[in-house]
Amino acid sequence: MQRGKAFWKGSVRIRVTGREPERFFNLCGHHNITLWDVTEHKGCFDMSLLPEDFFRLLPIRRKSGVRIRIQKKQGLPFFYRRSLKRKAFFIGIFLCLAGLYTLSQFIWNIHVEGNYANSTQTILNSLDAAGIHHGSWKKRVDCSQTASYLREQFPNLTWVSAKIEGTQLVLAVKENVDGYVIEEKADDPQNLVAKKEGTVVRIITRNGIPQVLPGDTCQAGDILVKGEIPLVNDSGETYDYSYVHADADIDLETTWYYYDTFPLSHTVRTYQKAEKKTPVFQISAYRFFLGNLLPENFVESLRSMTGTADQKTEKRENGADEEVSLQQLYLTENFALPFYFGYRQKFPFEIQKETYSEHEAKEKASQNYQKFHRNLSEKGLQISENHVTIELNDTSCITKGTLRVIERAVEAQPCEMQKMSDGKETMVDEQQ
Amino acid sequence: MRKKKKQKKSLHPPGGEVLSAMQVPSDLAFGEPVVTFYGGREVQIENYRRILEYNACRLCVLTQYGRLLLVGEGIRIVSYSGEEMRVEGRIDQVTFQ
Repeated sequence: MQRGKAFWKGSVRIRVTGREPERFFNLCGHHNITLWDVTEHKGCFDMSLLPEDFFRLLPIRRKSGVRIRIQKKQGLPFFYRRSLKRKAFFIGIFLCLAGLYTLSQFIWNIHVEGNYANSTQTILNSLDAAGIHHGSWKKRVDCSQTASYLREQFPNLTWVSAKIEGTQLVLAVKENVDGYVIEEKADDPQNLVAKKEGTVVRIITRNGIPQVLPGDTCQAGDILVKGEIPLVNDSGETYDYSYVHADADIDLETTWYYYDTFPLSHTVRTYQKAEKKTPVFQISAYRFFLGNLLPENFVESLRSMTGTADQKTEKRENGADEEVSLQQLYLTENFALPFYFGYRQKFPFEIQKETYSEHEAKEKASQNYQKFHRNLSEKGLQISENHVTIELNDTSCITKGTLRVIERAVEAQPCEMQKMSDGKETMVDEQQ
Repeated sequence: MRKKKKQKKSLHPPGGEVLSAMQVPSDLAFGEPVVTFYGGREVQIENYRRILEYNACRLCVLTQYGRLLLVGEGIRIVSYSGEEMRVEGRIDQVTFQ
């Protein structure tokens, strides 16, 4: 407390010498003059006191017969008097405080928490469309409106809370953990029709009337399971129809055509030792290479200025692969600045032309086919027959042929509903 | 023959028993000095009258009931006013005279 008071009111450091310094102390105490930091050195007493008390020392000095010398003046009043000439300094302090106050009126960080299905960037982009972004004026951001806007934009957000803490907009969200619910009308009347031409291998009907048997062939669009069930009276006449959601597991054996070709002559890259990394600095879409300032590099820099700001790009350039790795600067957690820094590295290579031998070409064609086969297996398709052959000519290798594939090439189609009225059947298409 | 009772010398001044019985603090009732030690490096002295002697090795203070002498090294008066005094330094010896 004494230090704070000494700073605001200022303090004077004095040196007292004389025959009766103790009397000086006692007179100070008697006159309610507070002294602090009193030290003695070789008969000299140094002490601090307030400037206002210093001017009351004259009678005390006379009575005690001591000599007083001012050693130091410190504190805000003395600093202020000394600094009166330094106008720019005070203007700087004032501008700094004004700048701080002005900057504190804006949102400088948007913090999103609790989001899993919706990425932070998606939410920020949505807010940006509503005019809320980094640098928005705080008074223009209505938290309740922001929360309701987010709930409208993202239906899977079950709860949104928005609050402003300092210069930060904190968005706490809770998402529907079950994910999106696709509303399926399972009761809609529908038929199952073939998507492709083929032969029925297996059919297990759960709902509806099957129209085909295993071994039957069908064309694309043929009804395989009907969702319309006729209701028959005792005399065997259809008096009405019941419509159901046709459901069945149907496997069709269809024909696929496979064709793959590649030239026998090809190029092979032989990589050499990678070059040193060059620092890269990028402002918006303008990229600068800071490695060296040779004219060649400068020209290259200018050419690269039109390049895009990809995070990591690799391109082919005169026998060298170029890898540019960039990192973006963030002012706050999500406030990205248009400044990037990173490095560029070149991987030079030599190109040699080679030709596949017969064995190599067949092996490569086989590998391509195996890859295609694996892709089909991953999709749950079975290959029942394979009529693929590999042919080689002077310039290329061609792999072609047909495959018999067992797949579920079935799709649902809404069935037409018939209405029985006055003994006549009328067709009503439910589809609108 | 009547025996003379030996009178005990009271610790308090006249009328002090009454104030003591009322549990009035001694420093308020009799102006006794209050000396508070913080380890051996800091001392707070209240209810003193004046400084009799001060240098870096000795500090002698007059109180209502005698002298209080502090002996040590690097004795420094941190704050000094009419009511209280805070002293810092290595205090080796405290004597009431």
